[in-house]
Amino acid sequence: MSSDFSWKGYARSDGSKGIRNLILVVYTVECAKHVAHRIGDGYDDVHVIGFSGCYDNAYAIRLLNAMITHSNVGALLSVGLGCEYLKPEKFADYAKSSGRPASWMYIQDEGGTESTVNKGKAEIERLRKELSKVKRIEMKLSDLVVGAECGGSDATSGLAANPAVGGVFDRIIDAGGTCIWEEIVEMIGLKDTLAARAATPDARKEIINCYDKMEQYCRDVRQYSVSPGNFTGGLTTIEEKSLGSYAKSGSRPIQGVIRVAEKPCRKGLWLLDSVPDPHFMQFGYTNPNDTEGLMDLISAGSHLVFYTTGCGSVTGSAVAPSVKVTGNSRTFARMQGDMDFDAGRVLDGGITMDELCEELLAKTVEVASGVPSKSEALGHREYMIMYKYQEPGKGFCREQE
Amino acid sequence: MICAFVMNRKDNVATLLDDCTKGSIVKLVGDVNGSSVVVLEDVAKNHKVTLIDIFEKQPVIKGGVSIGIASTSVKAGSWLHMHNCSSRYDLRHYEKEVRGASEGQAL
Repeated sequence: MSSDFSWKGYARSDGSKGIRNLILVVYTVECAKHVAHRIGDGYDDVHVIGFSGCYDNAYAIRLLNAMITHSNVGALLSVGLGCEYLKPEKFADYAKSSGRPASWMYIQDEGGTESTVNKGKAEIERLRKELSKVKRIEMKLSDLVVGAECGGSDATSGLAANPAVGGVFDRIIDAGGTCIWEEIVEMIGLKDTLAARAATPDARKEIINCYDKMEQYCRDVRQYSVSPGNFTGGLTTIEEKSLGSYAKSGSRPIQGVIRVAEKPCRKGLWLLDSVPDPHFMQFGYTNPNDTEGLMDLISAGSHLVFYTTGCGSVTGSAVAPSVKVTGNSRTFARMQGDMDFDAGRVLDGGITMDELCEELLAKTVEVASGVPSKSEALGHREYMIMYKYQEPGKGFCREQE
Repeated sequence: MICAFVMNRKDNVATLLDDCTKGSIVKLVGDVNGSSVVVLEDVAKNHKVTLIDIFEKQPVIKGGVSIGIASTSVKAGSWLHMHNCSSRYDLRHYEKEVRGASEGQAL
């Protein structure tokens, strides 16, 4: 039975449970990026992320704070240059206030690249010793937060990969877990369908507002979320792509709409809105690439993310592993080193959708229990944190029906 | 036997589960009771074929919903893609991205 799955996770002082025990290196401006990567690259348990901009951005700070306090992260090293707006010491304070050991440094104070890299690596050793004291704790599906994103879609995404993810979403939610999906820009034409699944009147309002904002955004920027690979892969219009993309949300009621870096306040299915809010600077895109979407899902607390692909995306994600699901068996055969799961088997009738979902659920638990996903094992830790304007999330729980 | 998948019985297109060549008889699977379609041109795996004649400005139905509008009249058994189907939202002109069936994702 699904609810019988259990594995050992990592206990954080705020009561959350993670499926990895990472040291996060965060750089606070482009100028510190190379040094941060030299400090953190090459270790299985160290991930590097950062923000490239010199000027302030509240959205980016919220996103970084969410990553720093993600349940998969146990410690922080923050590296800055010295003249930028974002401050390493503030991120370190935030980490410490959550019970996580943290260090910070400025390249200019340390005396340049080599001395910062040497000090940074010494700090990594120190933080790793602290992390070895983190207690292991039992985790079940009810503790799990799973995200889903599609990238490099073709026609098989909507027929096999996304429905398989939707079926697993249903199972995780039925077992008491939490699931999040996004890419509202790929739900064109589905406003009524989405609104009909709202769990509460508030959720319905949030869904409708989110959809309307998205349609206006697409009109304003004159861009719809389709790429040449989608077209050659058999997807003709954004409406068709949306139909397939939507399938990853499964069938359970939608509890509400969360914003980037906002954790769902209760279990169940949540829609993440990553579309910028209107602003005079016209800041930010939504989903300029798959990596940005993955970051948004992870900032909302996803322990791991289903990443469905038809054409064959190879990217992974920092902080939380991506599980690569393809509905295209040819892609799976050609890129086996990068693909975690072949959902395309359901198309030739060799396996039922139910059986496929059970297998994918088992694969999810395997990754949660510590077995690296393919992209994780290959060292893919892509990240993207951009300038954006978006109001923060509610900060309190919505009323339940 | 080459098959094409019908998501919903209301659909007027099916998705090829394998490459097929002009003149092939393609078996319909999915939300259908048997039946087949004769394909009038090469259609690549993962691309769509029309199940009935669709007239210009009529909706193209997949999964029980409209996924676009026929931009020209299309005979049953034709490849349906960007050259004869337009989005109702995305008004950009994609002529450059449309490739022939032989250059699709099929290996």
